[in-house]
Amino acid sequence: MIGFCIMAIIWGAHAFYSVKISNIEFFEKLGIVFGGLGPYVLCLISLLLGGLIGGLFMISGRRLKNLFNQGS
Amino acid sequence: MNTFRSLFTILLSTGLLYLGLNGINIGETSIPPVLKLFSPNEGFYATARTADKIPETISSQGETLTDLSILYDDKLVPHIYANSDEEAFFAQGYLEAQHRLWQMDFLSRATAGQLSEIVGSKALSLDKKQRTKGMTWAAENITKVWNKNPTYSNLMDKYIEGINAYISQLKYKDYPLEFKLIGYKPQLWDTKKSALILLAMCQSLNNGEYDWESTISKNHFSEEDYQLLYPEDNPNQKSIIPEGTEWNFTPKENNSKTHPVLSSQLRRDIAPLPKMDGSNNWVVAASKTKNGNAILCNDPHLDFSLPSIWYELHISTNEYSCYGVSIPGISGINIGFNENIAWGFTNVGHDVTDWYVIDWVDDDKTHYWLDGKKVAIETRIEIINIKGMSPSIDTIKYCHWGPIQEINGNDIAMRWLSHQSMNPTEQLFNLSLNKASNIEEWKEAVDAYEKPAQNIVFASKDGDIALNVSGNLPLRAKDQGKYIEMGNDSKNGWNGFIPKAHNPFSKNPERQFLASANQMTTDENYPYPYNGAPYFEDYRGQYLIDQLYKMDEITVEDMMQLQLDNSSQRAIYALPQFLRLIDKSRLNPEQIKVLNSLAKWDYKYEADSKDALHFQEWFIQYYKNTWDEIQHLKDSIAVRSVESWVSIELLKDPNNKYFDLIKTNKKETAKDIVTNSFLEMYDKTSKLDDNYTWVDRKATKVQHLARIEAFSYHNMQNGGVANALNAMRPGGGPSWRMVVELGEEMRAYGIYPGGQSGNPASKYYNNMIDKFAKGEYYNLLFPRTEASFPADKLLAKTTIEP
Repeated sequence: MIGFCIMAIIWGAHAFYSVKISNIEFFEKLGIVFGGLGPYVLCLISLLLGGLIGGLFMISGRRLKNLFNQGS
Repeated sequence: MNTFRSLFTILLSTGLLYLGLNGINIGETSIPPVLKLFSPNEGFYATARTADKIPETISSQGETLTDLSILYDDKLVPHIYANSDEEAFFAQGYLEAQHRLWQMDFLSRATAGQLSEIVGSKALSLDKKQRTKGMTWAAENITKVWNKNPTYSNLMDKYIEGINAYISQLKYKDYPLEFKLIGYKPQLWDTKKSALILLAMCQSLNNGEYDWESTISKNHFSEEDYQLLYPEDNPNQKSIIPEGTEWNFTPKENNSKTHPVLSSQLRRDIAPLPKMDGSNNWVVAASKTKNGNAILCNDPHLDFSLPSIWYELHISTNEYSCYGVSIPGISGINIGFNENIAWGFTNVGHDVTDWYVIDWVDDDKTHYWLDGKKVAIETRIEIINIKGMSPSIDTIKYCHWGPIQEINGNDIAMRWLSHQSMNPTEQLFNLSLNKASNIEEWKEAVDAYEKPAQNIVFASKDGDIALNVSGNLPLRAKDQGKYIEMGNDSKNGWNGFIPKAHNPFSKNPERQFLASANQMTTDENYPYPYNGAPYFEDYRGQYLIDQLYKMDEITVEDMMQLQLDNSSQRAIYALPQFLRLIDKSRLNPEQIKVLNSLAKWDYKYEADSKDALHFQEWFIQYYKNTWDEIQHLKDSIAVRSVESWVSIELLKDPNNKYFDLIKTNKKETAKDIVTNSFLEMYDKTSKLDDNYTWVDRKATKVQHLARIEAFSYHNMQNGGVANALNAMRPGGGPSWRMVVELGEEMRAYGIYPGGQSGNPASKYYNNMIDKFAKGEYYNLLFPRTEASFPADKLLAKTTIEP
């Protein structure tokens, strides 16, 4: 959960910041390419994907640690 | 159990990460690397954040370049200040890649037949078509010739090094958006890719022919009908080279001949749509202008696209300074001006594609007859890589004429002028033109030009004006290449080219102007025969020449107005005859109102005109009803379409049999057809919204090259029509408008419907379109040196470091 939250915040904030400082019209059009999503829905997807990566890393890290512990 | 769970979780995580970072193809569907694409650091967010960032320095990747700087003006037009041609070419290559890399890659792939490699099997039929036409073979032929001259090859290499210097420092986050969306990487550039860009232009401009349709029509119709439907000469034509020009040379001897194969076995079920992009250019002599300076104008009509086909730039070296538009992927400036001269292009449109029936020696089709000898065919294996699938492998047979295609059971060879290059200096034609300072140097440059053949108009500060029909023009026997020819005799093909000194040319004519709009090149006195393909423009040239005759004390603003003129010569010819013939007794009061409005119409296709909409629909219905026999035939065989001017000429014979509708028992005349067509038009247009006008019917769109609708520009708000000088159509029109007055100081204006950046996130992606639609122009900045660059126009400066 920690991994999910940290990465989701990093990716989400970075994505949101990018939309804010860039050409919003571009994100609106890009959203259409992705099936009619709004610019901030794209940010939300990035947030979730970031969280997914963080979560997967965290879980995998723990499992890997378990494996090493069992081995030793 | 714990070990298993741990391993499973690790493998699952690794697998998901791998797919997210690399993408996957499931059958026809290609999923891009989602994690990379949505990564704020690397994906489309990075594309947006950096869209308008201009680096202060760029690396030359080890090239020794001294004192090279690039200044961007407020339109993002780069002004290259360099010491040498090598430096300038390097910078041009770098800049075009920086702003248009995906466009260059996509266009070269589309021409070569390599789209399946990036988008999968949905592009396979298109790729196969390109391979069958011999496009990659042609690109290899051209590259071999270009590489023969080390001096020119070296300069070309500098341009390519510039492109590759940009590509080689790219990381995923820097890729143009389309690479990320489609999910592939840019490849390094090479000479063959530049040859493919040239071939793309040839395919668009130099590929029209109706040999098949003419052959089928000649077989189907009686001679009398054929001559009526497909006459050779339009009596209203006004040739590009002024009528009465004397040709003071002895034509080169030519022993070629023609042997058309008029067999009903030759058939094609569906005719490819005839397509030829037209253009306007003209020049008026100093004596005809208000300021006493020659004025040159050009607006090449091409398909609109985003990114645009053109890239605007200014190159200034110790030797010359030149401004204009280039085609990304081809070095030098294509259309533009320098400190002494200006030039512009329109398409010549001669038929340079012929078809030959193969006379096979054996049933296995390994040998064919040519000049009484058995000749072995050559084969070329075309491997088309398909994303996510095994490659498609085709064997294409080649003979003396070119690649052989099987069409409706017939083996037919295609001969296309653009399959070969003759001259190693072709690749640097632009450079010679960019440096020319007077009519002699310009003529020398344009005489070296090969393809696609262009009417190149010229004006100089010295006061000379000229027009040269430039390019390789086939040396033909009369009528050769109009129909499918017998392929067993090499004399049945064109025999080399008309000597360049004999190409049509006019200089400082008495009428004080020269103009071309893709019409017939010369009058009938020109001693070499040539064929128009798929047609010569019937209307714009006539209107343009009429207007220029009438004008005097011409200003730059007058010339802009002429470029923006929405008057339709077709309407000028047809509408009075329609109004004369229509049977008013069949119209109700509302229909009479529409008719009365049309009677007062000024023939201009203005954006808000309802009359333009009504006339256009009326003419379309008239054309369909008149040629209903042809439309009916087209359902089964590919007969030629009748040109619209023939439809207008036919009104002089109101009882002609073609006015009779095949679906009725009554015998119709021109009066019936004109009236019926009006009623059909009314029926159709009266159902439209009250606010619906010509601009809605025209519906001009600037489409993204990969057909991504969201990145296209819709409903351009302007007037114009294909047969007006402002030749707007749904998918294209004037792709670059330029007006140059050649005074002591060059006064130049230009605009194109697009933007300098190929990045959809950039404010320079389509920023010029609204201004273009309003008919406005930009003043083209032309500072000779970096020091004289106006500070208020300076957007940014970039220098190159080793």
